[in-house]
Amino acid sequence: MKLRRTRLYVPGNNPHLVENVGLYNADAVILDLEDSVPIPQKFDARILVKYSLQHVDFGRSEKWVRINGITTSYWKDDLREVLPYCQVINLPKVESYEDMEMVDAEMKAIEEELKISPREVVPIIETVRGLMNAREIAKHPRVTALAWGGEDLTADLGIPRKKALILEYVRAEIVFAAKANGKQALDTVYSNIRDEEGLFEYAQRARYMGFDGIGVIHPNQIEIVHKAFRPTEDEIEDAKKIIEAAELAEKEGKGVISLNGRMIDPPVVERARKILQFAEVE
Amino acid sequence: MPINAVGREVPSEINGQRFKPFAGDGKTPPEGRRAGSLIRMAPKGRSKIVNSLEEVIKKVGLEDGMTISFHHHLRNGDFVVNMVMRTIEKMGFKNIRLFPTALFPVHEPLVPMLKSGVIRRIEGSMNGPVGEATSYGAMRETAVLRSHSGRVRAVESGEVHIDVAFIAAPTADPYGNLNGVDGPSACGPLAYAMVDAYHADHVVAITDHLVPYPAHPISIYQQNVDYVVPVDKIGDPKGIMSGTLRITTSPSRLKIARYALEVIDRVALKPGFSFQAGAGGISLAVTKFLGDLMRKRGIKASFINGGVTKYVVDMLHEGLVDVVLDGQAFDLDAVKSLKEDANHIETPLAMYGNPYSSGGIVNMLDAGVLGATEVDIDFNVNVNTHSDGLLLHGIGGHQEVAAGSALTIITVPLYRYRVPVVRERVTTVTTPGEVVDVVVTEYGIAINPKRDDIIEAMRGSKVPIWDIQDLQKKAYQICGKPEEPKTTDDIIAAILWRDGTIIDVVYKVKKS
Repeated sequence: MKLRRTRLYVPGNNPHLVENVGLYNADAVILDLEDSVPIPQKFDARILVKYSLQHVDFGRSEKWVRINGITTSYWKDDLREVLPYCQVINLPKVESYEDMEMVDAEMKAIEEELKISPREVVPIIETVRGLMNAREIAKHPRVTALAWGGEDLTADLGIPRKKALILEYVRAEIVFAAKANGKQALDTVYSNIRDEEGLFEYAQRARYMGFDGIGVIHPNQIEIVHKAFRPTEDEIEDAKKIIEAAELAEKEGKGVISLNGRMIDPPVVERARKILQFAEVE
Repeated sequence: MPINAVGREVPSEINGQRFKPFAGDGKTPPEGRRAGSLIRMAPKGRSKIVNSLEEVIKKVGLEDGMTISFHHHLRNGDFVVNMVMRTIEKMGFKNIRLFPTALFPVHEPLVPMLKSGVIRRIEGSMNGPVGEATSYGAMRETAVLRSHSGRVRAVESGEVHIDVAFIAAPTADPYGNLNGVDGPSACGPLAYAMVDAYHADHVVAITDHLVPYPAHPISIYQQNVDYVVPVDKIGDPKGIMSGTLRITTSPSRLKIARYALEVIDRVALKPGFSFQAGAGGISLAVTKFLGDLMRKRGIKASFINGGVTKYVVDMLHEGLVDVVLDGQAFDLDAVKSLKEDANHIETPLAMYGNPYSSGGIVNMLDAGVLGATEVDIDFNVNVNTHSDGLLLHGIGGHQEVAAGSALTIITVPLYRYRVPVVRERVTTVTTPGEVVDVVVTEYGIAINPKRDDIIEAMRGSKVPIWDIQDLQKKAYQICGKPEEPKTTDDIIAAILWRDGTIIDVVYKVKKS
């Protein structure tokens, strides 16, 4: 599975911010056509994003586009312009499996027409109804990860975002819904770009909550989040030993893996692999 | 015209004075003896106070065509240059040669004096409007730009003789002892003015903070100062001190700073090392990150030479560095520290990097991080002109730090406003590639091929390492090939290497 510790949101209407996106080593870069683009600029931004995807160097970052939601009149045109040039569609305000089906059909038509490989979708769960259907949404074959957003959700509930106690439950539900279907779970952004310690704690908390990454809104946040998602030295050492033991067992044709006289279960091996992936150990 | 060692065609004569072409750093040996000033005797009495500028100008016997000097410690808050020049203009003098250490945007009122002939030429750094006006041909003769230390050399060697030095003094006593650490216009050291005080025929201090004899501490001593003129205000603290200078928050600039830090870490960082600090967003970031790294590794530096800011002062007071050598203060923390901390030492500019001396501070530097307006594939650096040919900046200490420091790093963005900074040929050569070791951009670094040791030290680093030509091609790929500046054949300024040879000239820009 791809590392998605960081996904950097970049407004799709600002060429100055787009031109250097490949420099910062985010796992993914999301060119945004939705909330950061005012309505009069929707058309221009779509074209700018289309050409940026083709001509700007994204370095090692995955190319994502957040298109406008399916309740708007923009999303189909967004898809038509950008789909051939990006890897992942980030789809806001998804509320049901049927929503996914509708977008899937539209994408399929474009993919078949242009003879391009199927693109992934990362839906954003940001309404109460979406949250209730998250487990179904995560089942959709296009979906490779679930993301969530708190603003609309808290507005739905009529509680202030900063004081909303329910968000920890929302986080847990997103993680369960994603993991039950073998998908990634992606936490939302940390919006204070000056608070480096706060960001580190937030990201580390997301990691221990079961998320695979968080959103970032400034390139200066990327390195800090990668550090937070990096397993500790002890975790890495243990994981290396477990993988070595597993490889040895396989080589020797043993069904049971043991380390220091202890039996190692397959999920432990799987977790060790994941730890090493996060540690960026080959 | 002869071609010099960086391939530039340069004249042998500027304003009727002979100059040699640049032959390479350290390739032109010094000649002759140091120049002196007029020997004079103080009048009887215990005060040197003169109550007006007009009166003091009469007393020193200023004449048409003479050379007068100023220092730039008050930077963009300076009132003294304009005040003195307006008086000179009012008194009807003509053809003055102005010899400041540097001019700033606040000195824009000099532009009409260039056109009217009150000033025939300026020899000194010109930051902003005066430089721009000069680029369009406002100056009657040719400007001459020298580095900080090159200017010291010119005075000491007699290449420039100062008739009258006007010294803005944040604190003075009636008998001419001066310092820069007290008073409403405190600026820190008076380092730039010291060579003028020793070598000018007449020295006039201008102050807004007169204290009883003897002023203390003393930066410039009474035996060198002829007159003291009290005025209401010599400067605006807002322009003198930049306040708390801010580290860049630009992610691409921070990336440059991090890459520069890694080069310093792998090449120069060891217990007792030394480095050159400066202002500017990237430079401040490097200083701060270096402090963080030293703290983490338990490494202590022997000295920092500055361009002193709060970041440097904090390192001194935290014990991360033994001594701060200070030629210029950029904020009030630096001024306060200079006044109060014995390990924060004011250094006369003659100590900084004059190649024709028995050795400058720059020769003791392990690492220097410098900026640029342009860099080229021969590692030549431009700090004077922009890519449109306009002369907008002085040399500062760029040349001597690059020449002296064991590791010279140039930090630049690959391009600015979609104009390549890394290019085939710089518009103006200020500092030759032979003294530049590493160019650091947000896309990665290029190492001067003659520095095998640095190439070796960077092996295994995650910092992308480029051939400088590929870096230039990358810039052109993003921005397109840059346009040549639209200039005429008229030379408006000569850029001298610190040894007094001509490294390049600046041409008049056509008005679009």
